[in-house]
Amino acid sequence: MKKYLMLFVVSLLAPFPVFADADRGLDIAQETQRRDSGFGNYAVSGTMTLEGPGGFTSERKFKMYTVEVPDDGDKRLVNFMEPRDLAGMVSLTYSHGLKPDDQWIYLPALRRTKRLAARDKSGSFAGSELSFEDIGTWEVKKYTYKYIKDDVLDGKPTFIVENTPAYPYSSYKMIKEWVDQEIYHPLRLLYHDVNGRPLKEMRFYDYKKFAGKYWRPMKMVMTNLRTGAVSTIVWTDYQFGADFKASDLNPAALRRWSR
Amino acid sequence: MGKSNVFILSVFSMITLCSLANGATFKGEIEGRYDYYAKDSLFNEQSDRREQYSLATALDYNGQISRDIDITMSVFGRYHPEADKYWRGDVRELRLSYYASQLEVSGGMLMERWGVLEAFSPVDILNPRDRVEDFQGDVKLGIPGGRLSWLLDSGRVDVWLLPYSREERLAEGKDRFRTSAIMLSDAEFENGQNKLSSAVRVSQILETMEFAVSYYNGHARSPYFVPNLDGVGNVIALQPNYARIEQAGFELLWVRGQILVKLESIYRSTGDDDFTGLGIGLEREFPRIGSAKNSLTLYGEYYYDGRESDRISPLTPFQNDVFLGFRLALNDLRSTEYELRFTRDLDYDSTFWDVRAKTRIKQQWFIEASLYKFVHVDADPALRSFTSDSRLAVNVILGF
Repeated sequence: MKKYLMLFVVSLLAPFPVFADADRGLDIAQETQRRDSGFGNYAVSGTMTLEGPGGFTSERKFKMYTVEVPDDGDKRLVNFMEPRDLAGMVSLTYSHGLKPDDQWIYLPALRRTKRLAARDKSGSFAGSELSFEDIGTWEVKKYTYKYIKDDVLDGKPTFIVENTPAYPYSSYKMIKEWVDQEIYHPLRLLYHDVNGRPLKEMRFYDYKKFAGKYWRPMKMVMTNLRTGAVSTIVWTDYQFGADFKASDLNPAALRRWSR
Repeated sequence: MGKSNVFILSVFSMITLCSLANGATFKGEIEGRYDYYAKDSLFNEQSDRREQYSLATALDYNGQISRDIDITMSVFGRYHPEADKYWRGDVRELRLSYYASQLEVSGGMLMERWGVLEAFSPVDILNPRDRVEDFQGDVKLGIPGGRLSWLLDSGRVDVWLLPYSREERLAEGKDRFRTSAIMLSDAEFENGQNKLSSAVRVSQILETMEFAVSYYNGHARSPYFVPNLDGVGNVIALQPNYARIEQAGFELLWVRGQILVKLESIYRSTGDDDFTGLGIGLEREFPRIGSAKNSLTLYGEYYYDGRESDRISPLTPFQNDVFLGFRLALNDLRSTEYELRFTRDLDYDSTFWDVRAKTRIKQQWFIEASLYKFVHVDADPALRSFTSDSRLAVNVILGF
């Protein structure tokens, strides 16, 4: 009888840690958002190296421009410089949280701005292991959060949080995140496919602080856990408060950027 | 001052401006092409070589003269020993542009693109086509003129003034893809080649819907042909004639989930033939096939054109046609892509197959292949002269 009474008490208490974990996960996400909001805009140069399983490598160079949109998702423009067949190509994404993004691409050879259907964001970004979903801007409402435990990664104390996509067309079931307890930015993301199996791992290195407040990684490495293919992005020349406006990231003006 | 002098002066002026620019980007490519034709040529004058080689180069330049002013140049040239003109080329773009917050002004040689459809854009009227470089009309020639643009929050308004009409570049003599066995005489423009043409286009984005309306008033970009007769009534040449036209265009693109719904329509008025043209299409992308990075895009389009073939409007191959396209991008390190394009004429039961593939063989080296196959085109007035022009082409390209 005592055993059943104990089970009854445990079953009553069991939901509380779950709610607490969800609240704490959300708290961590909101703290990340709070610390990173207000940047206005920034530009950064990226060099992405793709390494295939056979040792063949290929390099892409691009510049990325991000504008913060307080009441909606951010706007992000990527302007490719290399290789030759991608040079001059421009992609522009208006992120919308739980609604499908708006996305356009400018094809310089055709002088054509082409609208893309962006509901499914699982497509490869410039042939890399990163998908358009992976390079999209992060927002609190895009996921639900569950705190798992504290952990140590590369000697740094972290929170492990499970992020479950709230976007119904996400290509992931869950993303397990190691959040640096000091700067509230991810050090590691472990992407699980729709069947819940680990698919890809992203690691973030060499965070630096810009404009006195905003932490950004200088290097990101995405590894496909099934194929072993690796995509590495080295970021340089972060510019916060750069000389462009939200209205410059206009699909009607993409040809201007392709210069 | 003659036309050629004006052109040479303009080129030198632009080159001088290029020298003033800083922050310039310069890129180009050199291409070696091998063509194999499955059949001997149809017409006597055409080259009888079934294997042909050519060399081409394309150069693109962009220089910033100041923060708001830049110069853009795109030139192309090909050496083709089996073509009617061994050397051909074009200044596809050579423009000086000024950019303000909501305003753009460009002048020089312009290259513009209107439309939303994949196989053919009925609304795309400003630039004449280079039918020798590409019989389908995907390659265009630069057009001299000026453009004034206002950028809106979600769209733009563009106005063009085009003081000079260029001829479409047509295959003749030794060229393959000739449209007729009869030689061509000098072209005639209804109101003279220097008669001003003008256009306006307003485009707007409303969340998942994009539309544009356009109006063009000027010379047609494709000619109709008038027979030149000798004293006893024999046709000795065909004269390309460019009629004065007015064209109103409408474009619509609607994002429905992962599908794009597209529509283009035109109403064209010429001297004695007014007609409508229409293209509707669907595009569906599957961004990831299975767990691989491969993406597949499917296209389905239908075209109708109401022009009367015995009037002065030029023939169009898209008068009652269905187009299906399949594009597979491997998204691998070599940017490998395959494309299958199929066009079926519902009036004449003719079929055109177009198969393409491309990949990178080193960081700056690329190889491309294309196969054109014409099937049952004998009854199709727009395609029957290509009955012997089914072709395999392989291009090796060095980018720099």
